[in-house]
Amino acid sequence: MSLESYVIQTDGLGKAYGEVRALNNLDLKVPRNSIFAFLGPNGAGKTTTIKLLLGLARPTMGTATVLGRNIVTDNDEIRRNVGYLAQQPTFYKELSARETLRFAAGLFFKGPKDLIEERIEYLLEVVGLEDKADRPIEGFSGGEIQRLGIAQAQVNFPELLILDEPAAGLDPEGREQVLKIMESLRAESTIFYSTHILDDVQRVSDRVAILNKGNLIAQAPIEELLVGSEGVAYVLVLEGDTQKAYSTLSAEKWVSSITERREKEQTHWVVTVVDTAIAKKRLLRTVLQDDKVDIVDFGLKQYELEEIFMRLVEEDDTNVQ
Amino acid sequence: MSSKTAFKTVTETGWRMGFSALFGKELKTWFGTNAWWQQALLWSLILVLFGSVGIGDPEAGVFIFYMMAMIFPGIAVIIISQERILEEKRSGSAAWVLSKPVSRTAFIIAKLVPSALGFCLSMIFIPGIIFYVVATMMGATLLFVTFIISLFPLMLWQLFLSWLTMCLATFFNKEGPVMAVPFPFLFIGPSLAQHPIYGPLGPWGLIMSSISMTTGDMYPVYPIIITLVILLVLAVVAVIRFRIHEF
Repeated sequence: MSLESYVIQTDGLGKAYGEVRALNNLDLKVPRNSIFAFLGPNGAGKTTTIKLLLGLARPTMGTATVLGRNIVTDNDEIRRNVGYLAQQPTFYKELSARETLRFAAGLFFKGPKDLIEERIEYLLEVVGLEDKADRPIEGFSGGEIQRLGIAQAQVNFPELLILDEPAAGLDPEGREQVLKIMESLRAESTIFYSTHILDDVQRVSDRVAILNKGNLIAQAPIEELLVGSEGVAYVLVLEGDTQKAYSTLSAEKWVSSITERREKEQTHWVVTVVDTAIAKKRLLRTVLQDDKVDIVDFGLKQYELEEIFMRLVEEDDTNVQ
Repeated sequence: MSSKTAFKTVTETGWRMGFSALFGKELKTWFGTNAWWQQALLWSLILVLFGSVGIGDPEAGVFIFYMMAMIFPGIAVIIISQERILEEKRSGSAAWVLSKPVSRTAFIIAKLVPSALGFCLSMIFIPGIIFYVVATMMGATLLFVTFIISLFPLMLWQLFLSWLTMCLATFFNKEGPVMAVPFPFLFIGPSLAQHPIYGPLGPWGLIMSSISMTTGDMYPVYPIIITLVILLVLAVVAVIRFRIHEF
């Protein structure tokens, strides 16, 4: 992928607050037109990274570019082309939603007035706030503030949308609305968002980076990450005497490991393979050679992001210790 | 739906980036709401009431007006000013605004100047005019132009309190340290102003400049010059500090 294809590229980016290292050696690559989830537990350094990218804080090590521009020396230009939603968006409470969007638009555009108003109207509609457009935002719910936050971030037709925990603290309905809006904006902007809500990541993201205690511990397309670090694995649920089948299968060169678990009368295997093509052809046949074994269930192991996430974070914690 | 190219983009760059929109918004916060006339009404009532104490002695009434116009609106000026920057830093609205194409210098200047205009107009100028009318009706012999000019040092004093408070708000994140410095100035200032040596050497002497303008006494212009210099320094320090602030 060429350099220009990455809307965000960091090279050893880091931030220390005195002795405390909030972010270490971050090498992040966010491809254009992706929905990129920046995942990590609370305090992992996600918000720090976002603030560095936007010039709201200065890096203590490394460099980064956003839309090909240096985050330290060319930040003005970056902010002209980026939309940002803070973790806890706070706007001027005396303004209405429409006035907030008008104020935000005024920082980018000086006219024509009718087009600005048209843009505001469009965004209010996208985020479903047309009915509340002229009410002071003081009385808005968390979900409404969040949606207004997405609308204001989008006011300048940004090439890149940076959303810090866009669905955090929202009820299921509010979360659903925010995710739908994000999906609808996919065609217009690259979306880089931080979150710790794993279900949302699996649903809307193309790529994921996982941050833990300031360190990047994984970065990959979501499908790749979901395959798991051990490679492709199959799940078999068996009945009968599985001992001989286990020995036969273990001896195969294309099998790297078999994890066995017994549950009542059934035996559960997770068979990790090194060659998927051979495994597809021979796995079931090899097991069925033993007529003392019945196969009750068979399939490709589907990892949940939570499983991957927890394992990576635990591994990283162990390594740090 | 129109594309981005159909819009005229803001061309402000450097320190002016975002200034027009922010300045307009801040002006509107004061003059586009009820705040300006409510403050003007409040301070007119309070200052005229205090000034009326000297109903039997119009000159004493004028003196009391100046004294009260130095102290009481100052309390409101400090409280309102500390919120202007501190509240935005703490709530996150400053970070939001600065994530847009807005220079930090523009952000600070857009806070300092519209507030200054609001304080001067609503807390000193309008109450001053109303006091002038009332005092004249009571028999005070004040030249209108001289009286209006005498309000200028009082406005400078309020600006000093306001900008000092805002400058401190760029350094600290809590009200305590931000207000701890301007309040002693406010309460010690009137006494210090009358000190023969130290009186003219700081903004506190501005009240004596105002009084001397209407009484015709000679009083050094140092407080005015010193205050103008201090205001400039406070603005520059606030800008420099805010430019290195990290959110």
